[in-house]
Amino acid sequence: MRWLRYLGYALGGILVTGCIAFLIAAWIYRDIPAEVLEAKYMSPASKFLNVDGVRIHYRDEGSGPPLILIHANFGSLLSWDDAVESLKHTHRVLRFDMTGHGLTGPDPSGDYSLERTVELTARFVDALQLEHFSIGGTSLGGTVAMHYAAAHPDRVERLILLSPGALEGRSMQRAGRAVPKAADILKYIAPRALAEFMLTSRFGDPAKVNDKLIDQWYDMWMREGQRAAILARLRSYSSADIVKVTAAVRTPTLILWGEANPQAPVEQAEELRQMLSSAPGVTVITYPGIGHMAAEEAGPAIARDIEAWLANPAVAREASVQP
Amino acid sequence: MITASLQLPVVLLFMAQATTAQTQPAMDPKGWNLDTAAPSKTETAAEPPSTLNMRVYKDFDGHISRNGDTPYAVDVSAVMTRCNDGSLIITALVIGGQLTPLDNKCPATSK
Repeated sequence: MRWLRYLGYALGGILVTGCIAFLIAAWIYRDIPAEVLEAKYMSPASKFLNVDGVRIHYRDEGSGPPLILIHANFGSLLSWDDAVESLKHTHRVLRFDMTGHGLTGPDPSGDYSLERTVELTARFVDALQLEHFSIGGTSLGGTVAMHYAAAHPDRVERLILLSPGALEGRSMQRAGRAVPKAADILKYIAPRALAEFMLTSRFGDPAKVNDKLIDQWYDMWMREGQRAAILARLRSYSSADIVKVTAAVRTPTLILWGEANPQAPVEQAEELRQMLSSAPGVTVITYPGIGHMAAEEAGPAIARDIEAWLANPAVAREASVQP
Repeated sequence: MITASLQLPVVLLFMAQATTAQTQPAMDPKGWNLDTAAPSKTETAAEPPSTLNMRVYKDFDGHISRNGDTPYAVDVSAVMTRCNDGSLIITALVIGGQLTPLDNKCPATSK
């Protein structure tokens, strides 16, 4: 029976070592207080607006016709830095951190559904008293922008969709892909390597991912309560009835898409163009070698195309006359 | 759904919108808008960025043309690629909702 005792010692040792390792890791990967991140990442253009109990962080830069930009899931408003640098010379650019992202932090309601995100966007816009404006977004932000534009055709003048996640979300739903329970461990242990992996896998050229960007993403993930919020959003994500939503868009639309985008293949650009059947003047521009995180990877080129498109007079809103 | 052809005989180009073409379009005796002729070369980074979005009208003033065609209008837009060297090329045209791919590619050194 001696071997049984040794086996007990061994198993006990492994268990104790595992517990110690977990506690050390949880301490290393502990949350970063909100005020620490705010001190690090706020800029003179940063402001906060309390919308339905959520303290939304946003930046308001430049002057001209208003343009609202919404970032992707896992990112923050900083994703648009390169693009805004150019766009703010011709537009008043407003960008905000969605709940569970950036400096906005978690939603006290615990609701991270797409409906809630679109509703908060609408209230944010109302609070800023913006009557008419252009709106754009990338990935999840594109889906939000599209839903908003479909619901508010009287207010949105132009819609910009940079690799929107709506069709990607639909594919995930069809495939029945769900976030496993085991992912909850990320609330306690989230290595920086995960942020690096997510970025490099979403860039067409992974060599363009630099330490500053990885740190930026990782820091924001580590904001207090953020990781639980990210998981909750992933679990509640649904792109809704995207066919109905796209058909309801009656706004001139610019679709921008990276050609090296495994998360949302560039073929979806054409599919989306067809789905936007009621939108007058849909323009599509693709970018060779650019991945899903195109705002970060090709910000200046994207800003240039957005600027040129916004400068063009819109095609008349009347529907085409068909024989 | 219209399957429009760029060779339609009597087309009045009502609205050609490009950032580089804001002046009054020149018209030839047959009614063609000469400013909208196909570009003879690919845009380069040095040229101003441009997007293509226009509505083409045929017999839009309501009269029936000699061959009896019904008046109509059709939207034409371009699917473009921003090449790595900064040039913008048109890779397809969307005419009345139908995609018409073109055989344009980024320069080999660019892509």
